[in-house]
Amino acid sequence: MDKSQLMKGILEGCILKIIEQSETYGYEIVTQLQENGFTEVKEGTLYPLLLRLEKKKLITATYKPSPLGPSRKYYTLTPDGNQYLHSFLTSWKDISESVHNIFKEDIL
Amino acid sequence: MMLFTNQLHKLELENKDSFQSVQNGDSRREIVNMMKYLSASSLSLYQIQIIRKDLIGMAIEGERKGLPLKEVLGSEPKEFCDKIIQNSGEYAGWEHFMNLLLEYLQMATLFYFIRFIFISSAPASFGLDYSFMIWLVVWCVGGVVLPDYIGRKFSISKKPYGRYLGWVCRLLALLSFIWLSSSPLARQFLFRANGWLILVVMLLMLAAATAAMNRHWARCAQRFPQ
Repeated sequence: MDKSQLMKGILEGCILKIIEQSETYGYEIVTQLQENGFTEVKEGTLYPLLLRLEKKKLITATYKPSPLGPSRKYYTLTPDGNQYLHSFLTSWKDISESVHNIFKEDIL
Repeated sequence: MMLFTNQLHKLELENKDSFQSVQNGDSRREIVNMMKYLSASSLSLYQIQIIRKDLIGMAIEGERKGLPLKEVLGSEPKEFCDKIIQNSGEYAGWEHFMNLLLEYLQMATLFYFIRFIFISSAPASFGLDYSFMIWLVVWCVGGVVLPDYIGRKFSISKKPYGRYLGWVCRLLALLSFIWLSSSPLARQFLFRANGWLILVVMLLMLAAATAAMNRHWARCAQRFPQ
């Protein structure tokens, strides 16, 4: 099954959650996503999404010097981003409960 | 000071410096081709340089882990670029137009200066002749628009010969200047005036246009992450 449609909206919420925990940069976000099961996510998948989130003013980006080479782009959550994250979580709880109810027998 | 500093040019130079740190040949080639492809889109030219900065950073970090840029991105360069264009949601077509107009004005002033100072026999009474006007149109289409279109079409292509077609177009457009300057059209003027006055007016227009674009780039530098 092509998971890309399912992933589209979900990844945004997950990315915002990771950024909410602490100011972070692209590679770290990818690593955390991969460690939590999103094994197919690469920086190429992430970068356009981060651009979109920046465009929507849900996150802000600043460059900071890195000890290992070129300056890194760090992302932080904005107040709008915080609000969006909470509404995402509410919607996700509702949807996942409904899906869980329908697939109850297959899950158990 | 912002009218005299071109922030876009400053960022381009920074990127050019850090690009030297990318060792992998394939990664370098991919970055160059992606930039050409993105330059033909409606993204802001300043944002394209920010993307270039980020791609160079990804390439360098990837090399540190022994990965080429393509593997870091996890997708084909064209697919990656299309996703960026789709997700940026930005239309800066007018910015491209203004930048093109500025380049056009620079070229027109330069070639008018060459013709006025070195070619004309009566500099005090000079003007804009038909051959010069025709050449400006030829340069716009053959020297700028067409090579850009060809460059985009072949930038992320496996057929390298197509990329040289753009340069052939530019060369032909430049050569047409010499041919048109010696044609009978060069002696038929659209209007005549004091040649020095026309040159001063063109230089003032160029200065005003440059200052306006520098102001725009300064605003972009404030809008995008630094």
